[in-house]
Amino acid sequence: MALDFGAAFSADWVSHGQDSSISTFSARTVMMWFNLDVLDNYANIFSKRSGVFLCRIMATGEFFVNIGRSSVWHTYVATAGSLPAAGTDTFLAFTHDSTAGAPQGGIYIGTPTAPAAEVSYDTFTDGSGTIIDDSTWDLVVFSREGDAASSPNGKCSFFSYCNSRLSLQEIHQVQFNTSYVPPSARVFTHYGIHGASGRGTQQDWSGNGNHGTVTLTTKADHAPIQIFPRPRYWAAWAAAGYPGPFPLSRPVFN
Amino acid sequence: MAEQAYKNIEGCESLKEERNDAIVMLRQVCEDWGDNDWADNLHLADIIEKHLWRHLEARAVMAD
Repeated sequence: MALDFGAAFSADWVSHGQDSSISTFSARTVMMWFNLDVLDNYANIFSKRSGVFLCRIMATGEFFVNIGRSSVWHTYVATAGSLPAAGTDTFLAFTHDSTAGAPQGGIYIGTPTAPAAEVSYDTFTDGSGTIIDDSTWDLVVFSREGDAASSPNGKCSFFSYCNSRLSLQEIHQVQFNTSYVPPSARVFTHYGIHGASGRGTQQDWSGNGNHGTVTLTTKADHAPIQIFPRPRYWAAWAAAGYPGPFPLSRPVFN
Repeated sequence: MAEQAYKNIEGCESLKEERNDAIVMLRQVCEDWGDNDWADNLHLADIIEKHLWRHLEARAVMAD
């Protein structure tokens, strides 16, 4: 199950609001499963406050994640080709901890059979200074607040936002078993299960009530929503060097 | 020859520093007058044209 966000730069998005529980994190992790029909230049994958916390595909084929900081902004720019080809089920994870030593985070890409691995970068700047306040802006998936037409063309089945920098093992755990809710998750959603035709309120399973409000979109099929552990994913888990089967914690029942 | 190469390297470092300073300043100006939806490695001309000038132009048109 997933939400289909329609044509590129259409007014399709999900907003998780601007609650204090999802604002101005000093450390964070974003995880998503999506499948893009086209890798559209300038399409926004997620955002909270325009520019200040933003993941966007660039005209050069690269994509970047920014976090606004008082001195030098954090910017990681993944090299062109980092995103899998259109039509590929893709897992994206982004981490950052402004209080950690360098490197303070990274961007990781995986597929249903490949554990998320760090991308190569054209620019890698941890940045410095305090994190710029984003508390009065909505956390928006597949668009950004203030721009009703910056949605990528594709589907998204899973989105999570945590207020800690997760380890790569925890990221893999979520990648291959999206019933595992990390303790620091402040948003944890499986898109397309709830609401008529996929529209309406998308339940936040983190327990923080940061449900997603859908604008447009339709409901669609999209493979990577492993609500229950599936043996076919265990091989990838084992290939990543972990003992199987999946360790479960705080199971989610949909 | 070696001296000239050293000068060239020194010049590159100086340009890098200048670019970094310009980026920090543009972040502040774009925060107030444009948008910050750009990565640090974007061409300076693109930052100024697409993420600053267009906003200023729109404001100027609205003010007319």
